[in-house]
Amino acid sequence: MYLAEDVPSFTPSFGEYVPTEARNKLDEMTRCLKILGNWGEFGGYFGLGLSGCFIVRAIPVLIPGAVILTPAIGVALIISAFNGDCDRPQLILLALSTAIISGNWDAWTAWLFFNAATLTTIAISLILVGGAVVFLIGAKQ
Amino acid sequence: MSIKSLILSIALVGSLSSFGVATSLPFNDQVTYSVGKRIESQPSWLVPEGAKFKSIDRGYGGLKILLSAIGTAGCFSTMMIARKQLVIEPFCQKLYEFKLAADTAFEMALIEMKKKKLLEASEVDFENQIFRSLGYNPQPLLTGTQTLDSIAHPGDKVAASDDSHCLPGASMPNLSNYPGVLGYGPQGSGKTFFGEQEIARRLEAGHRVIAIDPHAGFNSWKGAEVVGAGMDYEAIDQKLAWLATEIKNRYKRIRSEPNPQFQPLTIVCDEFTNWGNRCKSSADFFQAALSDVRKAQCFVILISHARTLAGLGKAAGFADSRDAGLLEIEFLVNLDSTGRATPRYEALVKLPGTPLSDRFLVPIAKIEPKSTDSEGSDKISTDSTGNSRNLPQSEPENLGNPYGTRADGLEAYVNDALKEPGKCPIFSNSKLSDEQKKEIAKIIINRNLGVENTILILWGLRSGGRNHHLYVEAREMLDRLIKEIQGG
Repeated sequence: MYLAEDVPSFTPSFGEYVPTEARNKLDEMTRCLKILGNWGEFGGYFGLGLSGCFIVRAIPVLIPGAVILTPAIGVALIISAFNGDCDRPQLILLALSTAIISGNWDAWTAWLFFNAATLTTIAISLILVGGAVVFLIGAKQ
Repeated sequence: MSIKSLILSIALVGSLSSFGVATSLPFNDQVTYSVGKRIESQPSWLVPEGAKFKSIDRGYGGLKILLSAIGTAGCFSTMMIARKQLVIEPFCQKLYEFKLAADTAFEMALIEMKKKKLLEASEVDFENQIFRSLGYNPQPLLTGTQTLDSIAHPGDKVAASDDSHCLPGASMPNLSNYPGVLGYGPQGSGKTFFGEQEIARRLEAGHRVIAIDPHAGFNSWKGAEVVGAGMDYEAIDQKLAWLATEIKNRYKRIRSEPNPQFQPLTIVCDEFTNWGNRCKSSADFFQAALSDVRKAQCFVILISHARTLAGLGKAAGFADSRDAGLLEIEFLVNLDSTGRATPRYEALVKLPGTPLSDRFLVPIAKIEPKSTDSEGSDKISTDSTGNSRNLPQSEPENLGNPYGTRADGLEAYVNDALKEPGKCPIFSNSKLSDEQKKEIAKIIINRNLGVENTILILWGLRSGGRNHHLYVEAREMLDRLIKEIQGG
């Protein structure tokens, strides 16, 4: 990244008005371009992840695995992304995880509704078993 | 925000919007089926085996992939362009800054120059005020009449009157010795009469005389071939062209013959100021008059209102030639109470090749109005024999000099001295030599003005009073002078 100070100066000095005005304008322009560049980079990685998800979805054999595994991968990436400094690898991870989640949300929800009975049974069973275990441990103590 | 940033922003927003559309649409086909009596709708990959197909809603998998690809390309393009712009933007900004600074410097320089000019103008005005307060009359600025020509040819500019000096005894040179003569002065100064007198002498000397005068009256320019009368500028133009041819032919003869003889040709151009600009050949003619006529026995007399080249047929660029080639005579005038110009009987003569400051004053014969026409007439009075009373005849060997010899100049000086006797005594004038004083004294004595008047004119003394002894001495000197005259 180049800064204004890095550019060789060939402008004669005519008081403070002109440089101040020019510098303010340069700062504004630089800030705008930086924002655009960063969002463009994020969108690029996001688009790569999204396109990958869709391509996987287009292959029927891979659909179940992708639908089940990719959300988990996305959540893991988000958690890891927010646990460190937001440098470029973390930006990439954040973009990819967001892309995986947003690309498979329909499949995920459809799977959840399709297996709702089984998942509910399992959940109730786990709650009951867990509750009983906790109760027994508490009674013993 | 610049236009580049705006375009990049739109591209980014479009790319992100395509992502939004791609993610919101269902990817897979939605199949409606029945299992037993129960009817369900699931994506195609969740349809169980044995289900009875009812209907299908197509998904948007292809469109989602396309939008995703477009959005990805858009975002990467935005990123790359923005990053590149971020690199070159400081340079662009420096260019903008430099242009701003250059414009500012230019404006500052303009303001500085205007300020300097104003200060200079103010300084000149202030100096002029000081001069006026001290009694001096500063030379007027020519800013109001300056033209591009006057800047391109500085020698053409109007020259203010200078301190031309009076040489006692000086007289008009023999004009026949000069191929080019320029007589100028305001109306009523005697220019035209000067020309008429001059051509009369040249005719006597055998010259062929051509007078170019669009305002020529009946019977004017006697003895001369008058061209252009009645404002016939076409005829003047043709005559000027003929003159150029004649000069050329004469030079051809000079080249081809050992000793060719020509009849001297004198061309008088009256009121050159008025018609010079209307004839396309006038500038060429003026140039020829300054350079090509001498060897061909051609003589040119230009009569004009001014010596500026703008008044001489727009012959701009020939100022140096004019100064070097023309004998110039400026006729002086007096203004009466009504503002009318009357002849001053004096002229300033500038010899060719001499600066204006070396002009010398010569007296000229008095010119009196005609008895029949008192309005601005330049005619000279004549006696019963037809000869001029005021304009002495030239000597036979001095043809072309209507104002006589050096003695005539002394006569004119005496005439001026007689106007106000005693104001400027002859023997008290340090500018005159002893010989000149004696000659003037002889002229005055010969006029028989009386002893007292003569002594008053010569010594500025009157009889009686405390200076009576000086008067007595002057009387004795006068007696000796009279004896010398009678003895000589």
